[in-house]
Amino acid sequence: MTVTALLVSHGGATWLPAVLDGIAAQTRPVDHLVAVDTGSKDESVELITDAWGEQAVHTTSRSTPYGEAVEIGLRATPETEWIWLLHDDSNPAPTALAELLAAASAHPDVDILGPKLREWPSLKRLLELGITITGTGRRETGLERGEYDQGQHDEQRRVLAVNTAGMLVRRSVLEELGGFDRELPIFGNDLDFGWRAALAGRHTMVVPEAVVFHAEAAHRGLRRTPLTGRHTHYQERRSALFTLLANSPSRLLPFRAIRLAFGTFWRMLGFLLVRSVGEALDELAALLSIYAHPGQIVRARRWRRPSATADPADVKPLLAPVWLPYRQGLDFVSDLAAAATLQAQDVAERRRAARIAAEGGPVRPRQHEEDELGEESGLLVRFLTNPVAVLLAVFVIAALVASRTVWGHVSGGALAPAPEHAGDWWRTYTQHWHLLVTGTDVPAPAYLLPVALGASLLGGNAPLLVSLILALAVPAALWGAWRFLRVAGHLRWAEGASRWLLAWGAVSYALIPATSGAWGDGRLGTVVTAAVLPWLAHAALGFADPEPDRRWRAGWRTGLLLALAVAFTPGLWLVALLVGLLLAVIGVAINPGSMRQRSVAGPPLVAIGLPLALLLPWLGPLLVDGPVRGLLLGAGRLPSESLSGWDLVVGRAGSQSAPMLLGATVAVLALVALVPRGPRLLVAGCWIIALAAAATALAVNQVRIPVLGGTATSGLGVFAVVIQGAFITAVVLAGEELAHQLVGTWRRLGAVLATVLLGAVVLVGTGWFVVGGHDSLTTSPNDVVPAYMQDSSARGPEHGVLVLQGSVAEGLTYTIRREDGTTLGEDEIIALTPEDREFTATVRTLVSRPAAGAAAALAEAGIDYVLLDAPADSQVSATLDASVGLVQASAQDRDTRAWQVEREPSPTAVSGPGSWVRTVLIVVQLVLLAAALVLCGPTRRRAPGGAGSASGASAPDPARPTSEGGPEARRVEENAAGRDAGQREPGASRGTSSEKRVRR
Amino acid sequence: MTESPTQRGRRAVQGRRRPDVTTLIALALPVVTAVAVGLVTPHPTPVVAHPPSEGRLVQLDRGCPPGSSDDTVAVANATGSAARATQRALGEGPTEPTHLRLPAGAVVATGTGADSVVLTAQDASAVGLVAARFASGSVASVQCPVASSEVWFTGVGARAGQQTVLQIANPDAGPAVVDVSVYSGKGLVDTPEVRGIRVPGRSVASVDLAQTIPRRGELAVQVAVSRGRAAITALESAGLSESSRTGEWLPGQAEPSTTNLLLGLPRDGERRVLTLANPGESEAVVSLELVTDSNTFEPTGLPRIRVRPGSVLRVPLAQALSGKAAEGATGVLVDSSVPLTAAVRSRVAGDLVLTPSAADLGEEGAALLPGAAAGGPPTGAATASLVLAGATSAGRATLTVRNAAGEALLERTIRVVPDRSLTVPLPRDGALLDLTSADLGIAAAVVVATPKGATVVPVLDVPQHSLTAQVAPAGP
Repeated sequence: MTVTALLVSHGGATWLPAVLDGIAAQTRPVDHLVAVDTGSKDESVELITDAWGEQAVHTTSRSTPYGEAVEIGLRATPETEWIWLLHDDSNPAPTALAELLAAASAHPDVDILGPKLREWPSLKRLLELGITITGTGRRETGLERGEYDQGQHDEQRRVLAVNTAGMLVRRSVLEELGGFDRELPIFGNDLDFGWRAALAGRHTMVVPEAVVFHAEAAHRGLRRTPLTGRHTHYQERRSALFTLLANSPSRLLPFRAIRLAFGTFWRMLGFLLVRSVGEALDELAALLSIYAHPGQIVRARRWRRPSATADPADVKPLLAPVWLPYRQGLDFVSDLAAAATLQAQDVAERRRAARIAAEGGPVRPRQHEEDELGEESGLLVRFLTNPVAVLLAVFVIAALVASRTVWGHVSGGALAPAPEHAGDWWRTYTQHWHLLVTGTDVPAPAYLLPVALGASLLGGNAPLLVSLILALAVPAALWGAWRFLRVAGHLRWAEGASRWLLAWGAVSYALIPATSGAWGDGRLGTVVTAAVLPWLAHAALGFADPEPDRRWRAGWRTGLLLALAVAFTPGLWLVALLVGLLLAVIGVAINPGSMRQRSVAGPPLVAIGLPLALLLPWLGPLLVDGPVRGLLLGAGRLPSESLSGWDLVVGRAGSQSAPMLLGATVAVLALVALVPRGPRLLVAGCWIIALAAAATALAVNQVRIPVLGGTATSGLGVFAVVIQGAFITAVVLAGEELAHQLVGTWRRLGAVLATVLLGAVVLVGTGWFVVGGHDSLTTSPNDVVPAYMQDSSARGPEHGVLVLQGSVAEGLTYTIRREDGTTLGEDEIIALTPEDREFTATVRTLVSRPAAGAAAALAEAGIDYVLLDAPADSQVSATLDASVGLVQASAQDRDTRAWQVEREPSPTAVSGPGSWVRTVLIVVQLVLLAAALVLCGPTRRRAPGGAGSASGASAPDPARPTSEGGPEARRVEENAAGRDAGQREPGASRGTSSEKRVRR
Repeated sequence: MTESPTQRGRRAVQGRRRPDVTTLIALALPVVTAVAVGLVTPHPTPVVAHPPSEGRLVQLDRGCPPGSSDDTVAVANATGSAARATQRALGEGPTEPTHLRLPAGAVVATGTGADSVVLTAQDASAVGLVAARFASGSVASVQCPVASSEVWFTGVGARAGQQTVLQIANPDAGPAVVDVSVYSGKGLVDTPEVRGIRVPGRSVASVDLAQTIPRRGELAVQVAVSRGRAAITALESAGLSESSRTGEWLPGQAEPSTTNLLLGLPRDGERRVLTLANPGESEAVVSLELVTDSNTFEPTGLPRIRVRPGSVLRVPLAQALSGKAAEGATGVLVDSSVPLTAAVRSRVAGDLVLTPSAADLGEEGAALLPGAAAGGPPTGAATASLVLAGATSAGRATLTVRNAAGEALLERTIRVVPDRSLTVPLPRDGALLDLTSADLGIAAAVVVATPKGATVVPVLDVPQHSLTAQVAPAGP
């Protein structure tokens, strides 16, 4: 058996000396040496010439594809049975060739053999043991990320393909198959070659006994070549699509083509979620490049047809299983979710680490209290032996029990019933003209977008979303508060605040939506904001992160959460602005230079500015067309909650609040929290937030908002929540300090008193909530409009019901019910709609004199029925009875009167103009939202081992075919805590299931 | 060891124990926060009443009850100006309205026969529309009432010797629903038979109380219209035999009141009985006064009158009216602690005379007199006299009496004073009486007497204004 080693090099001087040594040190020497250099600008050619002699080296242009380079090498090679392909960054172990040839002898039917590829320079981690391709075009190695080689995969077996780095191939087969496809200049040609060989009935085998160390420089995608251009990922993906479509059986081709198009969409989404916009666009470009030129696929398939003599069924077992891409997708989603929730958890730790690193000390990860029992204990055991966890779980169950009244089509108080389907929300949100009252172009409230998105995720079940929000607000606030307080505690003490204190703070805060009365009054805005606020605060702690990148991300995250909260309670934006200004002033006072850094001042500015940009479809029209003061109107039916200063201090945000003593106790404790000197600055920070909320409440309370039928004030509930939240944080921050400061008898007395007070707040609040009966929420609202009129009005927006209330003596008011009544999101539109004076005059005429024209005018305005609510005023009903054009209709009870308008209402009664401006605004908003989500996303980091191989490699590298990978091949940075580069010990195989070796 | 001057200085500063910045912040923040929240004041949503605006009356509907085919329905505009009206006969099947021209001051007698009719006047013609039905061959007449939602009749009967028929005319196209509540001497009577009576659009329903809810004793009924409108009258016939039976329309009362002035006691009346009804839930303590042209006084010898809640009380007036001082009594003033309804029944030459509680006339009152009947006033020595009383202050009123052709027979400015009545004899041919005054609170009635009997024609308020409700979209 004779072997020619064919080395293709391109700017690989960094590795070449070792590679050449490796080849020279083979226990079974190579018979012939041929090198092809594709325009290296470094000393590669000299290095090879020095080692192998001038006759062995052939040079060609920089843009030579790998396949062509191999062909040049073949032409210069004497007739040997085997060709051993090597890259300038692949270093064979001394026995590599010997083992390959031994396997070739043992398996004479095998034509292509590949070694075990291990990472270079780590030398221990496995890169590849044969490769295959999934239905989505992903290169599949069947290995875990960064898996250490412990011989666990040392089994010779048939595979679809092997890497060209170290591939031993029969020269006859290489020539018979036409070498490597020219359409695949760099990426994926090994997979394609293997697949073609398999289809031609040739066998490929991986020989783990043969080891080649591979630097995989091009895998980093950091170097550009004339062949890859700037977009390595584009080339990778294009190659994958090409390979898949060129080699798939004809019957599968249509299915593959459709699947790849959908797959591209999901992959793009995945890339966007990990902030890889360029790669997402590369995905799209690759797809378009393949689909726009079907001729290249047709040609490729025609070229392959003569050699494809084997039964495709024989090849199928070599391909990746069909379920694999789905499991990989699932893993990606779970990775992402974990990353999203765990982010910024250790702001405090990172600051400490940065400080210690700056001082030159060792960085040791903090040992979490939760880990005391050790990882080996079961989850249940750890849970049951942790009293805080048990108590919190009990609290969550109690909160869920307490919110038992919200299941169903809930409404009541300030909460309008949700429409039946999310589509109604989408329609209301996207429409410029609303078929409400007599038609209006007031923009839909900003919170409709998140609720519409949320309800769509629930299969369009809008009432379920409202129920879920109300039921999960307390648990969500609990979780958020726990996370926030934990990190806040770490900012003060390395070991963090006591878990008992954290639990108290989290539970006290979580109770606020309920005990403030906002929950009972159906104030969805305040409830949502109360649940979002701790998450927002948690995200804002990221501003203190030592890493600029994380600070920016904190800015986007805070901005996004602020936008969500502001969509429900606009007043919060002013609090955020004021807090930002106050902290900026303090920041300048402490360190004037710091605010000049873009990565310090920028993120908070992003956080403040993002809501303005994201809420543009709501903000813009109100700013331009007014009423500007309507911007202060939050979610919910008017009137807004009217609160006194005392209410704000004790956290009262509704009429059905818990005993004020609870909030008052927290306020007093927050005052005491200022006493200990240690955490005073942090506690003062809490007080500054409380002050900002109080000042904003004071200002907002002065503004009279003109609304339909009167004036309104902005609800102050959100400020009460912020103030109480700040107080609770202050108490937690100071509580730990106080516990340490008080000594002897005083300490014991203080501890007893504090425990009693804190416990009472939580116990009384929880008990009050669980007992229930403090809410206006109902699932069977008492509608004055009879069922048959509701059915009639559901026929179309022009079949409105005019509902009159009041008396001649005290004045009459009217509302118009259209379609399914005023649902969640429509009250705010109606409130800001200017009065239709013409219609009011029509109603006045109608109730004043029985004239025929008034009824006709009602039909013109899209009114089908007139309802006079109980107690029906006798004069009004007498006038309406006498009116020509109105026919008496039946009502719910004797005290209510109803009439039907004889004339059929005009179908175009309430229709109005559309607006492209609205469409543009919403498109801009959705694009901004997507961009913001991407910028909030965790940073991706490529598979380990890249740092070394990428260094110094700046030239194009056609010699290095590489794997192509989607986002699922990447690592999600924050989730890497336990399995980050170099952290996992050999054998500690805890990867997700799909990362396990794929057995075939 | 020697201290440097700098160290000494620092110690001196520390010695003064100046509070540090954080202490100042810790003190200032709660104070400033407290000030900020202290200035936050709640804004409860004010409950603001929007009183109606008063405007000129835009439409008036009067419904005349059915009668005999020989009866006369007379229509006029009391203000003395020319007007128009629409007349529509009520009954089964649709009917076309008739347009009437009402020459200035003239009375137009329409030949509607037995049908109930609705007269409608709009805008400028609405103010002053009056109509009445005059029975042929008797002095009985009824001033056609305005379509309303509630009316009370006191002293009605539901027995063989005294049977009252309620006549409910629905002027509108839609149906009207009427509830009749019956009060007896024993309290509110459970009468499901007369609740929820449905009167189809533009038709009349008659409810014979004697047949529907036979009861002994005198009753009071409230007729409340829960759906639509109705013009309601009550026709009472007394006497057991057909020959002795006399019929009379019983004028209604709009609502119970704590002051009822029963004006128009015919001379030589016999068997005078005051009927009081207390629909409230508290006992009524009642005081009676007699009104004469010279004074108002409380008659002696009357026992203390108390009317139990929800019941009807019959008070014979024979004793009260027996004294000399009572000879010229023109009316009875009933003051009560709770709102009552009241009426006086008398017999004049065997004819039943019903004296209702007279309504406050406001700015203008009017009545159609027997001279408006098609055949002129009843033959014989008929006399008619106007009785005015109830003025809250002294003032002047203008009385105009015209004949059917619209010629003014009497134009007189009369001076009214409180606490006494004023009796003005009227011309025999008088057909239309109009009485205007500044808002003096006066009430008036015309007593028509013939040798065969008598009748009291109430002078009804002429609605001038209508209230226009303030309408606004519902606010927060």
